[in-house]
Amino acid sequence: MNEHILKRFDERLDKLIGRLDRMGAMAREQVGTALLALAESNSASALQVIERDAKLDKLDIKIDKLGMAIVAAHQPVAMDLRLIMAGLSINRMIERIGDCAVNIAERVTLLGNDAQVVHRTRILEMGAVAERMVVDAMQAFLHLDVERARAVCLTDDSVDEMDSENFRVLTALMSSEPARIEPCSHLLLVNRNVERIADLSTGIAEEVFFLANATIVRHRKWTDPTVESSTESAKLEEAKEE
Amino acid sequence: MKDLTPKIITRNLDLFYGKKQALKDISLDIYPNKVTAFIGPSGCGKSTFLRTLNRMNDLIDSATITGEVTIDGLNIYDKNIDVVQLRKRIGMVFQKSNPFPKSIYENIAYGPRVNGIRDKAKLDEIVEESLKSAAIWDEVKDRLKDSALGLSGGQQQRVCIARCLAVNPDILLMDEPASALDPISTAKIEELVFELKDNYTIVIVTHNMQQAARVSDYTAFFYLGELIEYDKTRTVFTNPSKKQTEEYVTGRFG
Repeated sequence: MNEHILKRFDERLDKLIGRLDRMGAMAREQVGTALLALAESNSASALQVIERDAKLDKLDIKIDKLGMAIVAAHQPVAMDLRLIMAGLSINRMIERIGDCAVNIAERVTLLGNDAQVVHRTRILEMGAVAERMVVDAMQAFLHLDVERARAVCLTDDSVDEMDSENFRVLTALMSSEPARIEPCSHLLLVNRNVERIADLSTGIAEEVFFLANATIVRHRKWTDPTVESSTESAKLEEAKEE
Repeated sequence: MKDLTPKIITRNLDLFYGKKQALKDISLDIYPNKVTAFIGPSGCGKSTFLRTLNRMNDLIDSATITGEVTIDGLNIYDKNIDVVQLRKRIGMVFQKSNPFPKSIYENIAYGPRVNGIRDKAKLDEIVEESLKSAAIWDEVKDRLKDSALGLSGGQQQRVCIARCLAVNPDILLMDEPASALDPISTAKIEELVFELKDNYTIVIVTHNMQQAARVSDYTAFFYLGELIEYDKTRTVFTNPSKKQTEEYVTGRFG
C-alpha cells in the first residue's frame, strides 16, 4: 500500500503494528518458558513467567490507548479501519495467551516434582504445536499472509485431538493411581490452558482473513472443504443480513 | 501542558462588537512549536479570537477589546507596539486563498521586497526556500513566472502559506485554511501544518473537527464567546471533561 498523505497517520499505524509485534513475541516467550518449566519441573522459571506478565498487561493497555487515539484523530476507513479493529482484537487475544502461560506456570509451582507425570501425556507435544501456532498467527498478521493464517486454523484440529487424548490419559491415571489425583488435576488445567493458547492463536489467524478481505471467518469449521471458496457465500449472507 | 513556556498568553480577554460581546473572559496559553486548534460552532468566537492575536480586529471600528494578549512576554495591545512590525512576526492564512494577481515568484518576493531586500540572488533563495517549506516547490518550480491565479485552489493556498513564510514569521494563524479545498489538497495542507510546527507556532481555526483531531496538539472549544474547554487534543477527542465539549465533538449539538 502507498503511504498516507498525512505521515503521522502512517507513523501511528506503524507504531501500533510494532507494539503488537512486541506483544506477540513476549507472549510467545512466556508460553515457551512456562512449557519448559513444566518439562523440567522448574519452579523458579515458572515464577519468572508469573512475574513477567505485568509487562504484557502494561503493553496491552498502551496498545488499547494508541488504537483509541488513532480512531479519534484519523477516523480510519477501509483497510485502516480493519487494521485497528483486527489489531485491538488481536491485542486482547495475545494478552490472554500471556494469561494462559501464567496459568500453566502457576500449576508448575504447585506440581513440584509431581510434574514428571506430564511425560506420560502428550501435553508437551501439544504445547510445542500451540507455541508454533502463536508464532505463525503473528507472522501471518504481520505479513498479511492468508495462507499461513489458514494453516494455523487447520492445525487447531490436531490440538483438539491431543487435548481429548490427554484428558482421557489423565482421567484414566486418576482412577488407576489415586495417589496421582492431585498432580493429574493440575495437569488437566494445564491441558486446558494449552488448548486455549491454540484457540486464541486460531482467533488471531482468523483476524488476518478479516484484515485481508473483510470476511469474518469466526465460528467456522475449518475442516469444511468449502472454506476455500467461502468468500462468495459469506458475501451473500452479509447481503441478506442487511 | 505546564512544562512549556507559552508563546502567546491571553488573560481575561473581552471583545465587543458595538454592544454585543463576542468574547467573554478568555484566558488561554498557546505553546511554541505546537499546533493549537480552535473549534466550535459558527459564531462561537473562534475566528474573532484568532484575529485578536495579530490585532486584526483593529480594522473593525466597532470592536473594543479589554484584557491582555502577550506574545513572548510583550503586551501586543500596548500603545508603543508597532502593529506593522507585530504582523510581520505573525503570518496569516485565510479560508479563501488570496494570492496577489501577480506571478508566483512575485507573490513570494513581495514581502521580502517591502522589507528592503533588493538582491536578486537573495530573493531567489527566499522564494525557493519558502515554496519548498510550503511543499509546493516541485509543482511550481518550472512556472514561477506564471500567474498565481492559474493554480488550483489547493496550490494557491500553499503559495499563500509560502508567502507568509517568506517574511520569516514565528507564528502562523490559519483561519479555515482547508475548508474550501478537496480532500487531497486538504490532506496536503494538514501534512504541511504538521511539518511546519517544527519551526513555527501554529494556531488554526477549523469547523472541521476531524481536522483539529488530526493535526493539532491542543484543542480549544469555544461556544457562545466562551472558552469551554482547552486541553490536549487527544484528551478532548477521547475523554473531554465538559459535557458541552463531549456533545459537540460527538455531533450531538452545534
